[in-house]
Amino acid sequence: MTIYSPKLIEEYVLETISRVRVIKEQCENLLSKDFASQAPKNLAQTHINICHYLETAIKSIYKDIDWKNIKKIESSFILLQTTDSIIREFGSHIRYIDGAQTQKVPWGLISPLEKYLKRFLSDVEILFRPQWKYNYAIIPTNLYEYYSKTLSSYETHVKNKNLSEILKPLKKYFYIVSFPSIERENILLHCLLGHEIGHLEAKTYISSRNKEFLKLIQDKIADVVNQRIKKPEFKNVPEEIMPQIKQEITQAYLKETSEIWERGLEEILSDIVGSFLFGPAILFSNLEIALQDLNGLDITPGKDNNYYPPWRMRLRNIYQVQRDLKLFPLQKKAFQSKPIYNNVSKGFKLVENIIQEKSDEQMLKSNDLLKIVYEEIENDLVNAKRLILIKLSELFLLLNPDSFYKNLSHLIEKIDFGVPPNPYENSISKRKPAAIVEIINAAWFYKLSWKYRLFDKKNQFNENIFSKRERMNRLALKAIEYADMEKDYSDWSSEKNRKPS
Amino acid sequence: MSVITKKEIIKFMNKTKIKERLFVTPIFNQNEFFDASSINVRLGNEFIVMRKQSFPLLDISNSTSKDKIRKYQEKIRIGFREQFVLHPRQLIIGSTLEYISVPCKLMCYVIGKSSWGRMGLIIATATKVDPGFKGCITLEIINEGEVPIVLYPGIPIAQLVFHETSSKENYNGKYYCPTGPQFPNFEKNIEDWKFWFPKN
Repeated sequence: MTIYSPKLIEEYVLETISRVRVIKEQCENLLSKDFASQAPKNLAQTHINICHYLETAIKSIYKDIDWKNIKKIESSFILLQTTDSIIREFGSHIRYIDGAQTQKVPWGLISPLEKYLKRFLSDVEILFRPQWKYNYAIIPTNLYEYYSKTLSSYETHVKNKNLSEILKPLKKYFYIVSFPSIERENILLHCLLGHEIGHLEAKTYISSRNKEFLKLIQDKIADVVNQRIKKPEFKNVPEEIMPQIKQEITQAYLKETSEIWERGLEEILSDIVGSFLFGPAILFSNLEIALQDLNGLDITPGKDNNYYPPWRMRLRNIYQVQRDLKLFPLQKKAFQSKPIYNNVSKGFKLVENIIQEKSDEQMLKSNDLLKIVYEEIENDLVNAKRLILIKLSELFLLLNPDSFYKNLSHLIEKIDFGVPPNPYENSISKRKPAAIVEIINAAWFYKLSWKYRLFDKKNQFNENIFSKRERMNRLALKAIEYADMEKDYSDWSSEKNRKPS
Repeated sequence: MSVITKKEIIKFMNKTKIKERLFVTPIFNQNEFFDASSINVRLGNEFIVMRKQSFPLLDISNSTSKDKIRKYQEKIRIGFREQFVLHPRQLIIGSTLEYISVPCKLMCYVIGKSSWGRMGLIIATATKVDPGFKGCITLEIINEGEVPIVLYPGIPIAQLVFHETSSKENYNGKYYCPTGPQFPNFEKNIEDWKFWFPKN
C-alpha cells in the first residue's frame, strides 16, 4: 500500500479538518474573554475567517483529486500537506491572543500605550502580549502581509471568498510585541516597548540604505582583504587560485559587515526612537537591562551574540538624545525637593561615568571589519536621527524640556505621598491629566530619588523598600489608566456638547 | 463632629499642603461629583467573585484560610461599557473607581445611593473609612432584590459623607494604598483571636 492510498489520504484530510476546526473553536472561545484592547479580538476573528477559508480549500483540493493519475494524486497530497503545515503554524499564533487576555497583561497600560504609539505609527496595530521567555521583543513580520501572501495560493481553490474580506479584521500592518511575563507589573521597564516599536522605523531606514552601504564599504573591504592575504597564512597559496580566494574572502566579509551594520544600526536606532518617545525613562531602563548581561557592557558584536552592539555605545546614544532634547542636565528650578534633584542627578551621573569610558570604541577600532562598519553606523545615525526628529516634530511628539519638567516634581510628590500621579492639580478646578510619558518618568525619578540601605543594621533585608517599589508600580499603573480615562471622558463630553440636541 | 458640606469638601480638596489635602481621583464631571454634603463615587472595574463550585466553607480559625480564600475567590476585570450581571443573593467584592486619600482631620462613611437601594442593591457593609486612609475603597456588593441587576463599571454607585474629626489620627490598617478590591485579610488578627477559636 503506497502513501497515496485513498484511505490514508481520506484519513489525513479528516484529521486536518479536525485541526482547523479546533483552532476555530479556540478562537471563538477566546473571543468571549476580556482583552485590554481590540487587537487580540481582531486577530482572533481573522483566524476564525482563515479557518473557514482553509477548510473550504482542503475540501476543494480533496474533491479535485484525480484518483486515476498517480502524479496528480501526489501533487494534490503535497498541497494538502502544505495546507496542514500552514494550519499547524497559524494555530501556534493563538498563543498571542491567549496571552493578551486582560488578567495576563498590565491592563491599565495597554490602551494608553497603544494610543501613544499609534500617534507615531498611525497605520500600525500592535498586539502586546507577555511571554515567559525573558525578553522584550517585536516579531518583525507584518502578520497581514504574511497571511495574505501565504493564503494567496488558495484563491483558485476557494472561489467564492475574497482574501481581503478574510483579513478585513486586521489592519494592513499588524505586529506582535512581547514583554517578559514576570515584568508584567513593572511600570519602569515597559517604556522599553518604545524601543521595540523603534525597530519598525529602523527597518524602514535600513532597507532604504542597504545598497548604498554596500557601495560605500566596497573599497574599504577590498583594502582589508588585501591586507589579510599578505599575512603568513596565505604565503604558500598558489598564485593561480589567489583571485578565487580573494573573492571568497571579500564575499564573506561583505556578508558579515552587512549583518553587523544592519543589527548594530537597527538596535541603536530603535533605542533612539524609544528615547525620543519616552525620555530619560528609557535610559535607566536600558541600564537595568544592560546590567543583566553576563557579557558586560563592551561585548564584541559577533555571530554568537547576533551582532548586538555594545551596551556602552547604546547607552551613550540614548544619553545623547536626552541632551539633544535638553532633558538633561536637569532643570533645577523644576524640582521642589532638593534631595530628589540631587539623587536623580546622581542617577544621571552614574550613566555619565559609564559612557565616558571609551572601552567599547577601542574594542571596535581594534577589529578591521567592526571599525569600518561602526564608522558607517555613526554617519547613518546622524542622518537617521535628523529624519526621526522631523517626523516627531511634525506629529507634535517631540518632548519639550519645559513642559516635560513643569509637572514632574508634582507627580513625584504624589507617588511619594501614596496617591496615583494621574493629574496635575493645583486645585480641583485646575486639573490636567498627566501624559503616559510624564507618569513613567515620574516613577523613574521617584525611584532614583530613594536613599536606602538594602540591609538594615541587623543585617535583615529591607522589606520596606520592596513594599515601596511595589506600591510605586501600582500607583503609576493606576495613574496611567486614570489619566487615559479622564482624557477619554473629556473627549466624549466635548463631542456630546458639540452635537445639536 | 458634624458632616461637612460641599463647600468644605472643596476646601479640603484645594488645600496646598499635600498631607492636609483630600484627594479623590479621577474626577470626570464636577456637576455629577458633588452633592450638598457628599461626593459621589463610581463603581470600579475590578471584582472579586466567588467560585462557589469549590467553596466548602470559610473558617478563619483555620491557619490555611488565606490560601483557601485565594482559591475560592477570583479577581476579574470587566471592561468599561461592559456589563456585570449580579444575580439575586449574589455577593461580589468590588471597589470604588476612585482612589481617595483622606487627611488626618477627616473620616468618611460610604453610603449607598437610594436609587440603587430601591432596586435591592446593597453596596457596602463595612462603611467606615478612617482618617489617613489611602486607596480605592472595597465595596461588598449584594443583590438583595428578586431580579438580576446589570452593573456597569464607571456608574455612580455610592456616596462618601465626610466628618471632621476632633483630633488628628492616622490610618494604620491592613489595607495599604489598594488600587482595587482587596481579598479579606485576617492574618494580622488571628493570633489575638485564638482565644475565641476551638482548641485543637
